[in-house]
Amino acid sequence: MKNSLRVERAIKNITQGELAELIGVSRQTINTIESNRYVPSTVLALKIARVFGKPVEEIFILEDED
Amino acid sequence: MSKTLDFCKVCFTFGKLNFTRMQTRYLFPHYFKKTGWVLLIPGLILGYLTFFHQYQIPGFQISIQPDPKNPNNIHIQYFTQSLALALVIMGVMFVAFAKEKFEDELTAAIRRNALYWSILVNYSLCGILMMVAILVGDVFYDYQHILGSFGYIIGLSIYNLFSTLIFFLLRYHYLLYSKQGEYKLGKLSFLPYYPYRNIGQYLSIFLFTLFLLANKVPLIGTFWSEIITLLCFSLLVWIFSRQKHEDELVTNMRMESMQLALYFNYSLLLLGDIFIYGNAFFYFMIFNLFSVQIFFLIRFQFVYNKLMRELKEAKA
Repeated sequence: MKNSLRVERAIKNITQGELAELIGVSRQTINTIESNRYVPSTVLALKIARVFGKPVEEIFILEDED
Repeated sequence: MSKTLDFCKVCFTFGKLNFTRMQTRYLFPHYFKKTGWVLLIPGLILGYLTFFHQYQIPGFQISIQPDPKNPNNIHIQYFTQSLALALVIMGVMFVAFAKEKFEDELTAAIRRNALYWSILVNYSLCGILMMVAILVGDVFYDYQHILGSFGYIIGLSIYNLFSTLIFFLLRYHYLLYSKQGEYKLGKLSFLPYYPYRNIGQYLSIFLFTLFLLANKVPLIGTFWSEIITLLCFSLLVWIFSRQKHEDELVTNMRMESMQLALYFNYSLLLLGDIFIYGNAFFYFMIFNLFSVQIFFLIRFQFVYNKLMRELKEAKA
């Protein structure tokens, strides 16, 4: 699974730390998700999507090998 | 307050299938972390002094006279070692299972991965060292002249009382802090279901029966060291092989079961450390070579079977 978190953050102009605070996780967690090494739970993905006001599928995208 | 109650839930939700907020369940509040270090560091120092330099806290002992007719037969029970062990166990448990400052699902996942990993490392190491002791004789201690490889296993089981926890603590902090601004995940690999799970299961049950019978049947008793060593490995195979239908949910149950098994095991060990002395504690230590694994398997199998049962009922 890949994600467009970094791009979305740039559009909304918020830092990793600010996003982390908004959804109540640590900054390292956001960073680990952005580098595609951690797949967040549904709850966390929905919270992230809500911050950007977009459906989850626009931020998190399934890949062929998933 | 609700945070403190989180931990109490361990006792009441045994087997309850509720995974909605599972990531941060069963953890101590964050301030336990500092408390943990305050207990752990003096515990380690005290443990080192008492174990390697025979230091005893003055006056921290009682004299027991087992035979009233023979006043010269006095047994002195020291408590310094017990205190050191209690401090180390409580310290590590508090440090490792206190919430991080920013506790979230990823830190919880990393904690559990580190836990599972430390079980693998600790018991592989135990098994390998015991095997070496049996095959080439004792390489580290001088116990062999008295008790052979069995004496070595007793020596090893003293370390085993706390080594899993130390490995876990090192691994957990390595995963959290080794990379700047990012966590390491610490991937775990498992063996496939077939044939490893069956091998691990049947072999472990067979060996454990032999282990329990060893006191009654002298012929089995002579192979006690070999049985303990093999059991160490076969339990690892059982724990590290997948279920028939293993998915995300089952893996989560697996990880949670290991955490609960650890809580249960070390609470029991603390009680044993306080109340059991003399020869009985030796047997307790030997049992401790398998107890985490056994508690884990019981809890995991229990929730897994429950899940399967609920699945059947839903179909009907």
